[in-house]
Amino acid sequence: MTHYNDTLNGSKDCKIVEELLSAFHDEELNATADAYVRHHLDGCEDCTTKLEQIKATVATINTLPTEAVPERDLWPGVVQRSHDLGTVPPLRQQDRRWNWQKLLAATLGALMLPGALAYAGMRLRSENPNPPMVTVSPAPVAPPAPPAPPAPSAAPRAMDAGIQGLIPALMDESPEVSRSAARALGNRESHAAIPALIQAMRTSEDGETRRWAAWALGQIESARAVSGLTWTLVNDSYSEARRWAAWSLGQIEHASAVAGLSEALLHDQDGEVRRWAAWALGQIEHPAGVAALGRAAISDSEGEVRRWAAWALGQIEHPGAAQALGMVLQRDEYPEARRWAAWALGQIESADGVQGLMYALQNDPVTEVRRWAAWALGQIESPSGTDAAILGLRDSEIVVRRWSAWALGQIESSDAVPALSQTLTNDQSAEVRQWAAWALGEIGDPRAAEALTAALDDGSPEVRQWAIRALQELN
Amino acid sequence: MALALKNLAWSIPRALAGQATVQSEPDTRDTAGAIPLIDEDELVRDAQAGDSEAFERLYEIHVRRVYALCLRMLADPRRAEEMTQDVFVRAWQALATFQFQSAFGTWLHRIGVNVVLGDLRSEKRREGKVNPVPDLEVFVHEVRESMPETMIDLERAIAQLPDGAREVLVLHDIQGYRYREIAALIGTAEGTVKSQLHRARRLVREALIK
Repeated sequence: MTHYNDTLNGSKDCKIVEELLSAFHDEELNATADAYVRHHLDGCEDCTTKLEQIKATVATINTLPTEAVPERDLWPGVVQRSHDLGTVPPLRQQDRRWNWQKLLAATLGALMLPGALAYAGMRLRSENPNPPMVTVSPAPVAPPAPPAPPAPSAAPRAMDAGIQGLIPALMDESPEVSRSAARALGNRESHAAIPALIQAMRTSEDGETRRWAAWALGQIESARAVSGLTWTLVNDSYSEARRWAAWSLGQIEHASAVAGLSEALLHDQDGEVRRWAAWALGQIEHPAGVAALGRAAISDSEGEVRRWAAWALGQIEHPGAAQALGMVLQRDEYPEARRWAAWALGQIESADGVQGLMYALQNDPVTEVRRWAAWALGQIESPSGTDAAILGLRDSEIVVRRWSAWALGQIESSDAVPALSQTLTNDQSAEVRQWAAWALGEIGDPRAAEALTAALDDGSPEVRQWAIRALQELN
Repeated sequence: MALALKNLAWSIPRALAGQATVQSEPDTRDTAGAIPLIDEDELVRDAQAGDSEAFERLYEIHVRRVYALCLRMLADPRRAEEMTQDVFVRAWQALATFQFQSAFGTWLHRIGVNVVLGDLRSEKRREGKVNPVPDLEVFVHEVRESMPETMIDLERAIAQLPDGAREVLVLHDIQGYRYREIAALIGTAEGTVKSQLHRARRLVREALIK
């Protein structure tokens, strides 16, 4: 850079320096040029001002967001294009709405459970017994979702107008009008209303208008509302607006909401907001929510939040949650939180959950918690759960012993043969004895022959039938 | 997931975060902190082994960033969507070559820049060296909806920059590339990058004070 020398000065010097100012600001000049500009700036007010302008411009540009939510889901197009190319392993075309279907199936399964169990009993009593309905898991009925807001009792007058007429009404000075407009737009589920609803949610001075705008965005279910709803979730001073923002984010089920929901779950002062945040994270089912949910499950001050956090962890099914859920089982004073922690561990199916489940089976005072712990051990199917399930065979409650026998049949460990044989011989409940017989058949260990043969004289025909069937299964 | 948290950090006001009460007991906090977070490298390894679900997770983590890049570089929402899809198809094809020498996001982003620049170059060839002027209002509408928190006037000013100047400004001031890297990506001299960026900033400033 020999041409930068002290002989250059005045306006000519300024012209050269001005061209270098951007690079100087970015520290992209070499040492010679950098020193030259620095020296010039010491005595040149104009160029110093220009440098300040560049700094201000760059600082403004730097604040621009680096993420944008596409209008539509682009993943199907990615899959299609990769298929079209034909040179790459085909990506799986997922049904991205499967969460709802899964939830519906689980709910229906849970509702049908009594009938299914009755059917299993009928099959057990039949002349030609088939395996009991062991695939029917006693899935608990999902906690009731937060109630949807009541539909507007009377269609507001604004409903008569088109969408374009409703949008300005969002900012009407009358709260009644702006609330009605938000409700009407939510009922119409119009994507065109999203920007206006976001603006109303962020700027309206009426808390109820903000709340209805948040609700409306959940009705529309567009990922484009995630950023706005997240802003409301963490910033709005009105807890009802935050609560409905959480609800809407759960409706939208977009992974980009996880960070905001996690923040709300851990830090919101209002328990209802935290509960809804947990619910929404369970809806989204993204593993990024596990850390906050695990923390909430073990440390939130409100039992219902802990319960929903446990439920959400079961929805996500990430093994990283097993440790926290085990702590819930061992420490939580709220039975529903423990029950759902057991359910969640059964969903996750990680052997890391066995220790907590064993503790619950041995110590929990609530029968339902122990029953779910036994069910979860059967879901996990880990041999490390054998000792825990054997403990369950000694439980005072029939339902716990019955599910412990089922769990041992699932685990199929020969270590359980002596305990199951003893149960088959001594348990006072015929239902427990028949499940012990079934489990021994699943394990197939010949050491069970003696107890199964003795069970052929059992007073219960169901037990005798299952003993016969199990004897046929022995190795 | 640290990633996801970082990506949305803008939405969590510092004041609120500072005032928030962490409702955890001291004796459980350590354990809670030990809960494993999503390991992106693990996802990449799974995807390299053919696990398309893992790749979809990576898509979910990065799609918004890639789309923002495409949208700003092209100033055309429809093309930006197509190019975003192309980026992930190319990434899936090239995944086996990823050697973990950088963050996956960095690698993916570079693919994104190459895809967009390639598209711009081919467009120039098709259109006789002059890019069709994108519909500014369509772009502004899309920006307003896809990035509600952004500054529309500034986005408009950037979108109206001449070809070359806009690319350099987006790559440097928004995406954080250095002059040397931009020169290599575009296939031009560092001095050209320097002058283009200087010009771009001046034009943006002038547009904002109008």
